[in-house]
This record gives sequence, structure tokens and C-alpha cells, in this order.
Amino acid sequence: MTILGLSFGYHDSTVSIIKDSQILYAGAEQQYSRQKHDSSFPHSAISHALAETGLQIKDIDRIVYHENPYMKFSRVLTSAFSGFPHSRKEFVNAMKVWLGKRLWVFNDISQNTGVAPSKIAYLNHHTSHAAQAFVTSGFDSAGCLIIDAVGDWSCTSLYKCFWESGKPRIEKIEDVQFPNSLGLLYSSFTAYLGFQPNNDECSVMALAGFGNPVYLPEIEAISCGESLETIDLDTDFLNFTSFYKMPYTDQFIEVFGKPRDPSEPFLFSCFDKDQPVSEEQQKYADIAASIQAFFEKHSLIYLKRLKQKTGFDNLCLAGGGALNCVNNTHLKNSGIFNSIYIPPDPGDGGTSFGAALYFEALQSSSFTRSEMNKAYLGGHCLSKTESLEDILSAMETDRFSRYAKHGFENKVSVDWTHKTFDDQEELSEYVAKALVASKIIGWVQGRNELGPRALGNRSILIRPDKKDLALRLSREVKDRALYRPYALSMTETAASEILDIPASDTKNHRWMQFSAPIKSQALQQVISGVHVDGTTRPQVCSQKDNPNLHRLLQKYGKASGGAEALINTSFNESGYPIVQNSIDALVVFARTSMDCLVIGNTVIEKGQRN
Amino acid sequence: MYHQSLLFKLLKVYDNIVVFLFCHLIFNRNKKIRIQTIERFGDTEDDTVWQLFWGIKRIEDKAIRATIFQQILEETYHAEEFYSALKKFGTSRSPQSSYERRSLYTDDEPVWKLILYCHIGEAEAEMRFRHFLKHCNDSLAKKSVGRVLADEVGHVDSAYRLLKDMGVSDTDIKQESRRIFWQRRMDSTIFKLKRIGGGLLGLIFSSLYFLLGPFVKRTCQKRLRQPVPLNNTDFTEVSL
Repeated sequence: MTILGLSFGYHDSTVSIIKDSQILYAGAEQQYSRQKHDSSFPHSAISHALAETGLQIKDIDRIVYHENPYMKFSRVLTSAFSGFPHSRKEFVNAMKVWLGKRLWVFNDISQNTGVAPSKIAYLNHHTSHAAQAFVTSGFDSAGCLIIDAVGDWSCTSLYKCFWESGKPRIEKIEDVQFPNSLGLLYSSFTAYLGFQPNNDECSVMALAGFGNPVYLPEIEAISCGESLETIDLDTDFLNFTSFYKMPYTDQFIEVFGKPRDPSEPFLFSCFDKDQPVSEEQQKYADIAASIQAFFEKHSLIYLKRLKQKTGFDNLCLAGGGALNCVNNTHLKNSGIFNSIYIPPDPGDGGTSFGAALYFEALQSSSFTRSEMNKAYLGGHCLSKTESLEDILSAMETDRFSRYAKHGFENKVSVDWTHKTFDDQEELSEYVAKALVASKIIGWVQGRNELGPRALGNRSILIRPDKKDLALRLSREVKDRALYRPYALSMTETAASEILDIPASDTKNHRWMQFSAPIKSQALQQVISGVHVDGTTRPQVCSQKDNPNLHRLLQKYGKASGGAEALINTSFNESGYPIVQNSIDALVVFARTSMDCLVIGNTVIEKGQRN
Repeated sequence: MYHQSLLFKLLKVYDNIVVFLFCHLIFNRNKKIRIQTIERFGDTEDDTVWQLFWGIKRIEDKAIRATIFQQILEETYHAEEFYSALKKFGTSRSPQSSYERRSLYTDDEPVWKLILYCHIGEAEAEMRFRHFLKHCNDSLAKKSVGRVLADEVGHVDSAYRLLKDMGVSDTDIKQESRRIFWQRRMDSTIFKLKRIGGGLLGLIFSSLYFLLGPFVKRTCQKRLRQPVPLNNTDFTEVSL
């Protein structure tokens, strides 16, 4: 059976193709449309998915959609009318969007793909999340916790999951419905702190490291009922009807003060803990720490309840909330469950394969369950017919500098040279030497990662022991705020030297989903990847996970005489999604101060900077 | 070439009037509209980048690929110019602003048509930016538009040369230019009609809101306070 899984309409449109129990492809529309969190119909991702898998649309037996649009519409209407007479604009906008497009999503799918409506099925949103986590976890049974902004109606859901006669059973045992959403509350504070909700929650998490949770009582006062154990959001303070416009009210501002002006950058820095900041900035960091503490506290309450109700030893986490690596670590370290599994893209991007895989597992008698062990499920960086040599040999780079990133016009070197290696060992040795020489390396290999983390196929890499180099990366390539720490990729050998975690925990760190403390003796070796609280978000890479990255890490360790670890950050420019193909990568390379770009076996280098 | 045609000259007069009215009646008075307009300018440049990405993969000639790559860099730079201006207004492009990408041509049509389309788009943008600089009084917007405009000058000739390098005849260029001109007018008219239609729909939905609101408000508020158990974890087949 071949199934096309689709998720689109809200954010992070994704396509997956499941065939005979295997995920053949899972990739986001944003990789092709170059619009971050693109929510539109995934035309490009579908055609690339088919090309990648060698299938045609006629080979698709079923299409599975990740949510129940009718239930979602009922929630939108209920929310709009509950604010009568102050929610006219929200009602009108919702009606235009829903009656104009979203209610007819299945016609849309049918028309765009040519697949008959009778071949389309849908599943509620949180069950798609639960399926994405449980079916790929390899567990026989698990409690599943979904923390999300909002699905159809559910915001947080607890599931009991187990296998029975070769079929997965996913049973909802509790759900917390709109508007009492832990995720939306976090996103409201994201907006208040001057960031974009549904995009910059990671910035709030990073900022929290610089603050103290002194505002926790105020957050509890507006978010909890009589019992501080339950979420009962006070709609006098929060307004989710017009979420993207203004998710908080004037009364909220009376409690927490004026919202942060986004044009005033934060001065906190991971590279200089003693950087002085204003009282106002410290207050915002304290608010960030408080909402993070609230999030962790309530996630733990749900977790305890899940354990109580299921009695299982294994935990699956999914939903946008599972992208919060500090909270994930908090839940893991609580010891309530023995094992934990988070799929590579626990957010909405993963629901397309969750729903599709679950459908096949239920329908097909030959379904074989297996544990998900790779995240490289997107498109290749080079098409089968593409020759990088052809592109590079004709380029006239001397005019490129004029169109470099703003502020760096005419400063980026236009002296490009390139060479192709036949031998992977030689390539890795060459790149390792460049890393030792403090070069900023763009590393593009094979198929791209599913989800928001760069796991070594679309990465920017630098050596981890030089703060100045990390600062250059932040300023001249990534345009990244200095309070956001970089992540580290390391081999298993290096993990045992650098991370203060038990050896049994290493496997949890393959997809950068948890933070981990750094051993004090290793601190200087990886100083650029350490957050202000002494932790990092590591990717522990085994040879099996990613042979090319693993080889490079080993070669770097050998060449530098230090640890087999590198700073690994996503290969993109600020505001854009992670690059997908070679042209995309070359554009970023040409516009920024990146020194060296590796695409497959070809190394492109810039000469001395002007 | 297109910018010397009578159609373009007529469009120039019309556009000057439209931009004059837009700037003096709306843009100069309303910050929200200023932000929206700058974001749309950025989106237009960014969409050109996307279209050129579509094109570059279909070109085999190395030299032409290299020229298109440079155009991609330039348009990326222009998009960044407008998006950075948004930051100075204290905002940035929101992921909610994403829109459905649609390639202007199908895979079986020749790439030169896309090059021509982009060139006509640029010629019209250059004209519009000139009018805009004349009538708008916002210094931030003026600065960004001015920078982009400075780059556009001279593109007309280079686009023509590129089309000739691709072996396109003058007759084909002329015919396709005319088609693109009318296509763009049609798209723009549809866009405006949609906005008018949206306004009318807004009136209808507002009436519906005030008509139903008083009766359903309490039920809705009750529903939000007292959740209904939703235990359905099964698939639903679509029947249309």
C-alpha cells in the first residue's frame, strides 16, 4: 500500500510517502517555497516527493490528511462568537478564510492531485501527533503526551498507546481543550516579548537562561484556576480569538508592563556572561524564565497524570511543545518514565507521516513495525542530472559582492575556487583542516533533514573552542542574536568526554531534542556551544546515523588534537528556511562571509576577504 | 523592447495617477498600510527569486545559468532591502504572511518566457518605484525604494541581450510581451475585484455576526468553559 500523508493549512505544510511500512519521503513545502513555516498547499513538496521516490500520482492508493477541518471550524466559530460583540473582525476574517478555502480542503486536495475524494481520509490532529510518536518509537506500549498550541479542539492530550495483534491502539484518555492551552500561553508571551509567535518560541527558551522566574505567581494568577495544578486561562488577560494580532489584553499589560519593542535588540550574550543589560531587559528575561518555569511545571503535572493513568514505563512526546528541549530534559530527568522517545519533527511537520503510517498500520495486514532511526527523509541536494561543475565553471563571481548581505556589500570575497574529491576520506581530511584553520564551513550532503534541526546534512559548521569565530558566524552569516546558544555535534566518544550524562542516555541525543550539562573539564574545548547555564543541545552522531558527518567529526578531532565535536547550526539565512538544494546553498554562500562550502564531494572556497 | 512600446507609455501615465492617489490618500497617512506595502514589495522581489529558481534548473547553457544566478542574488538582495526596512518599523515578515507559490509557466514551456516575464515585471516595478519616490513622504520607504531603483537601471538592455543570447526572435519577444502585458493587467484587475468582493463579503458576514451573535454567544461561552469529551481516534473517510 502506498500512502501520501499531507499536513497543511496552518503552518509547516509537509508531505510524506509511506510504502510497505516504510517512510520513503518526508519533507516540508518551505524547503521548496523558501517561505519559513509555509502553510500553503504543498504543490512543490508533492512533486519532489514523487520524483524522489520514483512514484507517480497514480501509484498512490490513499491520501491521509492530518486533521479534522470541520471540528477545527467549529472551534474557530465558537471562539469568535464567544467574544461577541467585540470580535466582529475576527469572525469576518475567519469566515472569509474558512468559507473561501479551508472548509473545502478535500476538494482542494482532490483537484490538485487528481486523486478521487473517496480515496482521502482524515484523522484528528492530536491523534496524528500521537501516531507520529508511538508508531515510530519501537515501544510495545507507551504513554503519549501531546503539548500543542491547539489542534482541532485539543491543546494538550494524554494517550494510552500499545500494540495489539500487530495493530497499534491509540486511545485518548484525557484532553485539555481550547482555550486552556499551555502552548498558546507560551506563544502569547513570545509575542509579548517582541518575538513572532509560532516561530520564535526558541528565543524565549534561550532568553529564559538569563532570567529568574520571579513572575511565576503573576503567570499562575492569570493562567490557573483555584487549584494551581490546572490551567484555566483568564480571558480578561489573554485573547486567543485574534491570536496573531494581539494575544494579550490591556489588563495583561497592566500586570507585566509594556510589551518589548522588537526594534530594541537584547544585549544578553552567551559569549559574554558579564555583558551589562538594562533593568528593563532583565525584566523581560525574568518574564521569559517565568513562562518557561510555568511550562515545565505544568508539563510535569500532565506527565505524572499520564503515568498514573497508564502505568506504562515508556513515554512518547510530540506536538509543538516537544520542540522545547529544556522542558524535554526536565521531563526526562524527572524519572517518571524509564524511556522517552520524541520523533525528529514532533511539531506539525511530523503529523503527515504520523497519520499516514497509522493508516497503513491499521489497514494493511502486512504492516511491519519498526523504530525510526533516521531523520534524513527530504530531497537530495543535487538532482540526478545536475552537475555542480557546470554551474561553478561559468560563474562570474566578481559582481557577487555587490549583492552580499546588507552591511557586508563589497566585503565578501569573490575569489572562488573549487575542487572535487573522489575519496570521502580525503574530502573529510581536507574539510577538517579548514575547520582547524577557523573557517566557517557550509556542509550540504544527501537528503535534507525532516524538522527544524540541522543534523549534519544542511549545516554550517565551525570549530567549537573559539568565541570570536562563533561571534563572526552570528554577525556575518546567521544574523543571529547573541543570547541564542549554538548546538554541538559530536561523536559518541566525544560525548562521553564532554557531556555529563549517563552512557545509557546517549541515544536520546541523536536529534538535538534535549539539553545536557557540560563537564567542567571540557568547557573550554566547546565554549562556543555552551549556554549561560552550562548546558548545550547536543547531537550525538554515530557512524550509523550519519557516516559523512561522523567521519568529519573524527577527522576534525584528529587534526585539531581536541574533541571530536563541532558547532552545528542550520544552513540558512535569518528569516528563511534551511536550504534545500545546491543553488539555494550557493546563494547563501555568495551573500555571506561563509569561507567554504561543501556540496556532496565538491569543495568551494573563497579567497582572502577584502 | 517593452519599455518603448505604446502600451507601456499609456500604463506609465495611468500608474502615476494611481500611485499619486494611493500615496497621498492612504500610504502617507497610515503606518499599517506603509508596513503592508513594504512587505508586499519585499514579497514581490522574493517571488521573483523563487520563479528564477524554477527557471535556472531548466537551463542547460552554462553562461545563461550564471546570468540567472546573478539575477537571483540581486533579487534576494532587493527582498532583503524591503524586509530590513520592516525591521526599522519595529516589525518583521511574519510566517503568517506566506502565500501559495505558483510558477508562472508550466514545465513544458520555454524558460525564455519566464526571463521576459521577469524583465517586464522589473520594468513596471522600476516605473512604479519612480512614481513612488515622487509621491511618498516616508523617509524609510523612500530609502529602500531608492536603493532598489538604482539597481534596476540598465536592466532593460541586459534582459534584451540575454533573450537574444537565448536565440529568441524579436517577433516572439513582441508577441509574448503583449500577452504578458494583458495577463498582468488581468491579474491586477482580478486582485482588485477580489478586494472589492472581500469588502462586500465583510459586510455580509458582519451582518450575520450581529444577527446571530446575541443568540449564540452564551452557548459558545459555555462550550469553552465546559469541554465536551472528544475521544474519536479513528479515521474518517471523505465523502464529497
